[in-house]
Amino acid sequence: MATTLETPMFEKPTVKPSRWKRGISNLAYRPEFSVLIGFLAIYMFFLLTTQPVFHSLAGTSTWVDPAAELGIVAIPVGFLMIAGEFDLSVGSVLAFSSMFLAAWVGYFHYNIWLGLVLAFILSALVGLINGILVTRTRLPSFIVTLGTQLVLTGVTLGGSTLITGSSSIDMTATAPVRALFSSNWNQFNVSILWLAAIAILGHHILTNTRMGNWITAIGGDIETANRAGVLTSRVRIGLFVTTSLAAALVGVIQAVEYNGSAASNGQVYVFNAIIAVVIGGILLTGGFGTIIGAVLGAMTYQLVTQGIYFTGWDTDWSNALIGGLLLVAVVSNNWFRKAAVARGVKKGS
Amino acid sequence: MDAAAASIKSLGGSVQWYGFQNYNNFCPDAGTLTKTIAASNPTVAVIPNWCPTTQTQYIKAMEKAGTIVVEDNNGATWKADGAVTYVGESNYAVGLKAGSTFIADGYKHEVCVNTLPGTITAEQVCAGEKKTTLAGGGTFKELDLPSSAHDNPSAVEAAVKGFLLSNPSVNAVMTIGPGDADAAAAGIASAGKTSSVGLGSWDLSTNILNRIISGKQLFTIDQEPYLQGYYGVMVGFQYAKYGIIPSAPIPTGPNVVNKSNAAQAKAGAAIAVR
Amino acid sequence: MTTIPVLELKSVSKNFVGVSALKDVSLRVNEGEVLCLLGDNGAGKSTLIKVLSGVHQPTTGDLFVNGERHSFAGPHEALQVGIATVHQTGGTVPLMSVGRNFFLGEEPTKGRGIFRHFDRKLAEQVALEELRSLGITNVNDGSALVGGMSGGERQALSIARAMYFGAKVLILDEPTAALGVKEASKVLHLVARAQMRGVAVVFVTHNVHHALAVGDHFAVLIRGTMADEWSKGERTREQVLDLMAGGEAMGDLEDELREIRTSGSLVSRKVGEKYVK
Repeated sequence: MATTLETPMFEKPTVKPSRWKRGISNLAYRPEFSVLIGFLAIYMFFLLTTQPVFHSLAGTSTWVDPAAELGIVAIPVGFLMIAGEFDLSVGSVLAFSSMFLAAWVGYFHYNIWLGLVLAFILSALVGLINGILVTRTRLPSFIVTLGTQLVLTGVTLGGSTLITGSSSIDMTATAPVRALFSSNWNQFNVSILWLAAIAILGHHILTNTRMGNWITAIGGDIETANRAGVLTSRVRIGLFVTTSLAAALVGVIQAVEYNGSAASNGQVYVFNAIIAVVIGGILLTGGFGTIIGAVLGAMTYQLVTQGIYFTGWDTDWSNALIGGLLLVAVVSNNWFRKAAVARGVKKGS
Repeated sequence: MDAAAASIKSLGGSVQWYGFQNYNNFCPDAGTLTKTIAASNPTVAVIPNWCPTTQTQYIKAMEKAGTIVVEDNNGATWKADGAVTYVGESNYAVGLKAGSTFIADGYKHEVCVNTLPGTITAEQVCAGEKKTTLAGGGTFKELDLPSSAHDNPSAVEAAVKGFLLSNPSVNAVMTIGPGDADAAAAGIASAGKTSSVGLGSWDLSTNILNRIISGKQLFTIDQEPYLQGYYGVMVGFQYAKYGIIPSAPIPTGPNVVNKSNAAQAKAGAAIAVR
Repeated sequence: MTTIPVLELKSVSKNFVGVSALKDVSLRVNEGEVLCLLGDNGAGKSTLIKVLSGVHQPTTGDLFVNGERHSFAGPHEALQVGIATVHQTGGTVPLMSVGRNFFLGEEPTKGRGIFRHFDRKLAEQVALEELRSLGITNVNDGSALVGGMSGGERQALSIARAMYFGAKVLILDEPTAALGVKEASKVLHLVARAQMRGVAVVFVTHNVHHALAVGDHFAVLIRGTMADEWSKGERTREQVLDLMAGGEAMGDLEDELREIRTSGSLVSRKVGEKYVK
C-alpha cells in the first residue's frame, strides 16, 4: 500500500468533444428527451390514422385544454415526486375547492372574490396539514395523504349535503372571474396560460434556483441533504401547500367553467397526475425528473385519450392504450436515465 | 325525502336514509349497501335495484326475513325480486322518450354520451334512445367514456367536442346526468355548434333549466325523484301498517321538460319538489 | 508538544441508558496530521465520531477546538468551527450533477431580487477545479451525474467539498470499507493530499494496512476504552494486528484452526463425495 502512495496521480487529460457534439449529446441525455420522442411518435400516429379535423385548431384544443388542467396539477405533483413524496389528496382538494366556491356563490350568494380567496386559503391549509403530518410523523406520504384524501372527500360530501341538501351545486360566476378562469379565445381555454405560467416558473425554480437543488437532493438522498444544511422539512411542507393550491386552482377553473360542481369531482386527478409525471420521466422514487417532462407527460396522456375519439375506434379500449403507454414510458425512461448516469463514466475513460 | 320523513313521523314511524360514498365501484358498493340495509332489519325498505347481479340476493334475503321491499328509481326486475311494487320510471322508457323527443324536434343524428359504461342504468337509456331514433329514421351512435374521465367535466367536454368535430353530421347529444349535461353543453359551445346541435339530458338542475329557458338546451327528462322518494316511502309504510297498496306500479316519469314548461319546473325546484 | 491541537478530547465518556459506550477517552490531532482511529466493529468508533462531529454531547469530559472548550448543540455547530464529517456512504446524491452536489446547501448565486439564480457554470467549474487539486483528473464534466463516478471519486467529491467550505478537521468514517483495492488507494491518496494542505484528519478504519499507510498517530479503541496509542514507527504491523484482534484471542484461533486441519477424525468426507451409509 505504501508503494502505491508514491506513484503519481496524474492521468492523461481527455480531449473534450466539440461544443456542437456536446450540445446534441446533452440534449439526448436530458430526462424529457425520450418523452418528447414518444409524444411526437404518438402525434404522428394519430395524424396518420385520424381525419384532418384532428390537427385543426379545434381538434388540437380538445386535447390541449384538458392537458392544461392536468398539467397544472401534474407540475406540483411532479415536484413532490422529485422530492420523494406523493400527494393523493389532490382529488379531494379539487372537489373541496370547487364545491366550496359553488356553495359560497350559488347557495349563499356571497361575494365571489372573497369565496375565491377563502377556497385557496382553506386548500393551502390542507397542504400545510399534509406537510406537517408527513415531516413530523415520518410516515410515508402515500399513507398520510391517502388519509387526508378520504377525510376531505367525506367532509366535502357530508358538508355539502348537510348544508345545501345536495351533493352537487350550481353557480354562476361574474364576468371578470369568468375571464380569469374560463375565457376562451378561438378554441383555446385560458387554463393554457395558467399552465404556461406555472410551467415556466416551475422549470426556472427546479433548474435555476437553490430551492430546485434542494428539492432534487431531498428526493435523491434526504440524509445527505439534511447534513448539507438543507431545511428538508420546510421545503417539503412548502411543496405540499403548492400542490394543494394547484389542485384548488383547477377546482376553481372547473366550477367557474361548468357553472357549479359535484362532490365526486376531481378523483381521477389523483392517479392521472401520477401517470402524467411518470410518463414525463420523473422517477417514482424521487430525485430525478424535469418540469418540461411533466408537462409533456400530461400532453401525451390527453393526446392518447382524445386521439381515440378521432380515430372512430371503440373508445372502450382507451384505458388499455394508456396503460400500455405508461409501461412503455417507464421502461424507456429507465433506460435513458441509466444511460445519463453512465455517461459520466464514459466521458472520463 | 324530508317531506316523506315528516309524514311518516306524524304517523308514528321513522325513516333512515342510506347513500353512497362515491360511484367509483358502483355495482359492488350497491350490493354492500343493500346488505347493510338488510342487516338493519327494517320493516320497510325502499331500494332502487340498480345492479341486479349484486343487489338481488340481499333484496330477496331481507324479504325472507320479513321486510317489505318497495323498489324505486330503478326497478325493471321488481316483480322477480319479490318487491310489493315499483315507484319510478324505467330507464329504458327515459331513453325511448329522449329518442322520440329528438326526432319530433327534427334532430335525427344522435349520440348518447355514456359516462358510466358497464352500468345497466346508462346502457338502458342509450338502448331506449337508439330504438326510437332508428324507428324514426335517424342515426344513432354511443360514445363510451373511459373511467379515467369519470366525474371530470373537462374530460367530458373534450370528448364531446372531439366527437362532434370528427362526426360533423351528428346534431343531437344525449347525456345521462346533470354534470355531464353541463360539460356537454360546454363541449358543444366550444365546437361552435350551440345553434345547430340539440342537447338532451336526464334529471333537473338549475343549470339545465337555465339553459332550456335561454334556448341552449333542447329538453331534459324528469323522473321526479321527489315523487319517487315520497311515494316509495308512503306506499311501503301504508302497506306495512294498513295493508293497502296501489294496484299497479306508480310511473313517476318520464316527463319532458322543455322551453314550454321549464319556468314552472324552476319554480318547483326552488321549493325542492322537483 | 508546544503546538495547540486543532481538535482535542480530554477524558470523554459517553453513556447511553444503562450502557457505557465510551470510557475516559482522550485524543488530540494537530494541523497537517493524520490520526488513525482503529477498532473492531462495536468498539465505540461510531459513538466517538458522533461526539467529535457534534451529533452526541459527551456525558463527562471536554472537547477543545484550537485550545478553546466547545460544546456542540448539533453537527451544524461543529461544521461552523471547521469540523467536517465524510460518511461511509459518501454523502453525495447519485442522480445530481457534480456541480450541484459540490455546492448542495451552499449554492452560489448570481443576480439580485427575483433575478437571483443558481450560478451553475461557476458551481461546475469550481467543483472540477477542486477535484483536480485532489488528483481526480478523469472527471471533466461538471454536469455529469455523480452516480456515474466510482466510490473513490465520490469520496473525493465529499472531501473536496468539505475542504472548500473551510474544514480544518476532516473526520473520515470508514472511507475505504466499501471499496476495492484500487479505489481504496485513491482514497488514501486523498488523505495524504488533504494532510499536505494543512488539514487535520481523523481517519476511522478497521483496516490496519490502510491506517499504517497514511497515519502519523494511531489510537486503538476496544470496548469503548483507549487500549493503546502510539506514533508512526513505534509498533510493527504484527503488533498492531494482534492488538486489533485482541492479542491472545488471535493466538487461540490459530491453534484451533491448526487442529481442525491436522485431525483427520473431524473430516470424514472430501468435498463432492456423497454420504453413503
